[in-house]
Amino acid sequence: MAPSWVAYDSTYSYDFSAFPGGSWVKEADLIPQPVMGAASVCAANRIYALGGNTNRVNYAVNQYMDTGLQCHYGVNSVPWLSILPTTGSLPGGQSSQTRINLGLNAADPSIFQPGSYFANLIVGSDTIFGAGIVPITMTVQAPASWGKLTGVVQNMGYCAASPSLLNQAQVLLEASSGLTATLTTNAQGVYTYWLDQAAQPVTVTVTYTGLQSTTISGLGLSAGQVTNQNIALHPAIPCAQPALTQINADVITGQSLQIPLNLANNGHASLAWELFEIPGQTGAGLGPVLPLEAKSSRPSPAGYSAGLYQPFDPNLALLQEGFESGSMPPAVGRMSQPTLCGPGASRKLRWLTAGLTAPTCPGTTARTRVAPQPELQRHWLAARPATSRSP
Amino acid sequence: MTVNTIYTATLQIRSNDPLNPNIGIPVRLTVKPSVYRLNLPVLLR
Repeated sequence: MAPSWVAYDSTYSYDFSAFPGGSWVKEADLIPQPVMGAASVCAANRIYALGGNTNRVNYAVNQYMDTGLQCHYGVNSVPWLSILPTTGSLPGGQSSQTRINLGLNAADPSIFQPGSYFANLIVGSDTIFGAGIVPITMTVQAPASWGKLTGVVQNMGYCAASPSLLNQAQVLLEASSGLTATLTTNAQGVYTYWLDQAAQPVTVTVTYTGLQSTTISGLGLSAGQVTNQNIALHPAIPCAQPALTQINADVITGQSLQIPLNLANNGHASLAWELFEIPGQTGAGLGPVLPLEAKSSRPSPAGYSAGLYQPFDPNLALLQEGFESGSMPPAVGRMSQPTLCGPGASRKLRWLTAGLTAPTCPGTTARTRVAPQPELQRHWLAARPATSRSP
Repeated sequence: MTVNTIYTATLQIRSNDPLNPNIGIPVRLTVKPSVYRLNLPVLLR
């Protein structure tokens, strides 16, 4: 049975003055959360790893392996490394040496990709100075017929407007030869795999929770060459984007006017939409149209209720839902003041919990009202102050 | 509708876009007098 890692959060110490007697003693202090990874050599039946990253797996806890063996890693622990002889003795009293032959086998089944492979050769002895460590690095070159497939995976974000590198995305490679491989992208969103060009064409499928999977087929490979295939993933949500943000039109009395409004869906899920006409004000001396659209950085919670305040008072206009902050105002039924300062000056609502502020743009200020049940409040009513109402 | 009057309204688009479920498009309509009626006295001269 292969040794397995066990989480731990305690510290052990050993008093070398008691060697070869003595034993490991548990200390009172707990080990803090792991901040680095370092699997050490054998230490009295335990091999320790302080979190870190091993074989593309992140460990968030301190661990050790303990199967009751003197040293968990024997002479066959590294499949691509062979050692001969594994034991011996050297006479004392004079300088002497022996030769240990190391074999590096890149044909081992565990070596299936070019790159660097690491191991430590631990020379145990019956001295009190512990074991000697010889780091070994085996660099495996790609066969001449192999080509490298690599690329960057990005999350394009909402409306494809905020691309970012995607870490830990799962990349499935399926070659026409029947070979399959599952990879994960690194922190830079990069995946890399070497394949024999005879395995082409290759199909790449990238998946990530919350994003729409993407599959690209027919990728070719060239021996000794690099094939770059960047892949973009999109959130599986729609993205409603009308072509117009406001409509200003002059119409001759007795005539009519047709204005096309294109509504685009730049998301990667079906968009279901419906239109509503909300009455506004009428008059000859109206000022600029209030910037009515105030977007929220948070999605609308459940419980949306359409037409909560309809029909509207002619002097009221509808503001869209949303708070600039991420939480609901603490007060219930209180009044506050959004900073709406003319067309284009500010298109976002800011909830001021510290009271009212003086209007900075006379004639375009607005009041907001919070319903007695703010958790159901989705519509904001903006009323022009008396100084700017139509005569 | 009355000539020389500004009418305002909001065209609201409600959708299943979870990050932008309600989009308001302000509409401002100005009713102008008929060109025929404005220019007719000039043409008669």
